[in-house]
Amino acid sequence: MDPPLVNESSFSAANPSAYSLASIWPFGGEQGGSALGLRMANLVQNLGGFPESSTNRDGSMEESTVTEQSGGGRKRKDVSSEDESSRMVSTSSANQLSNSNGKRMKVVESRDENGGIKAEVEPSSTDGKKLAEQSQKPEPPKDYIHVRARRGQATDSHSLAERARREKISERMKILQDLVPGCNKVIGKALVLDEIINYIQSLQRQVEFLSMKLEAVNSRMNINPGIEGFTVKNIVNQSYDAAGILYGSQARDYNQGGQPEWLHMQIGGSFERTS
Amino acid sequence: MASKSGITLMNSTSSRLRLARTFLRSFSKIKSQTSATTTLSPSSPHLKRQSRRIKMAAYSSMARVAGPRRAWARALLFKLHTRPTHRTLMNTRRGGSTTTPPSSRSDNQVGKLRRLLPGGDRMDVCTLLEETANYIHCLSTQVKVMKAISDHHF
Repeated sequence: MDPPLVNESSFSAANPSAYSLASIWPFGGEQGGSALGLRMANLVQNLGGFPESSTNRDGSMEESTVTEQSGGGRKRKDVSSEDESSRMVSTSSANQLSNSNGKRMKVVESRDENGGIKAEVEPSSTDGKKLAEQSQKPEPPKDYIHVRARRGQATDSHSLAERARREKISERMKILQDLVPGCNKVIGKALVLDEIINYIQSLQRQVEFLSMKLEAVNSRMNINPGIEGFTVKNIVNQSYDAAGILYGSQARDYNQGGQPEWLHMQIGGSFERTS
Repeated sequence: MASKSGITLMNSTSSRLRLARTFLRSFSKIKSQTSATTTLSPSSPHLKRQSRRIKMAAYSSMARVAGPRRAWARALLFKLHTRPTHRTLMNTRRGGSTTTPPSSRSDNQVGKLRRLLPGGDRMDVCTLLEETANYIHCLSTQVKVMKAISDHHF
């Protein structure tokens, strides 16, 4: 009887909901005693041992194993017919009981025939239902892992999706805050957005300004001394600190300081923005 | 997480290298063209047009380095490529829009950001923020590259 049951346990390893087994099991372990915890370790080793032999079997197979297994199987079958995940839980626990050693299960069974196993299975199934919600959440899109309803929060799908969206937005806002200099100390979404907008505008203005500057460079060096001598490495390795004094320190108003004639050109020239 | 790896910006030195290379290529092309055509006395409208060309080269190299997977890069390239045909039309429309700021001033900042980011009017807020992060990164890199070039020449 043992070898097919080992296969059953490997089947439950293939099923994604079996990941919740480890988290489910401590609840059953409290009920069944500390020996069940040891058996759980056995089961986990078995799960690791047979990852490839996973075949996708039907629920009828599981139910048949449950019914053939023990005296308490009828009750378990009632429980397992409720939903799939709780059936997983009950079958896996049953498999595990007989898998590790059948003797101990018989000891438990003989100790009290009607009460013991039911009392062990039922809480695990209720816990399984509770945990099944949590174990179903991580499987669909990965963005919804961390979305969990706390006490008092709405749990319908629209609220969950809205909460996920808000969390995503705040996360990106945080990234943007790290990106924009001097934006970390600003509190409030509107002000942060203001800072971001100002920073983008200033960068676009700088691009305009620098294009005019480069244009002047271009026209001044008509003799063509050369970009050719100007390597890319030169740009990359060059330190921007000297140039950053002009612009980088003041994140907002790049136009204010006493700048050379380029800025006057920039202000005077009506250049459309390329944004 | 997938979204995070999408947001994580590229390796800054490599992107700077690629950006510098792309921009220098187009810049030298502009330069060779202008030095071939222009005389030593650049008239003012010509000067203006040339600086606009440099600016467009800067933006297009930025968008090309950012790659086609970025929505703003696609929108920017599309805008730059379609501009010469509709130039006068877009000029007039843009002039009209800039003269009526007060209603848009009271608008929310997200709308402003949409207008600022190329192609931002067709994004939802999440995408907008993500694209904004990437856009800021690329823009600052571009500014650094251009600054380095001009510092080298001055």
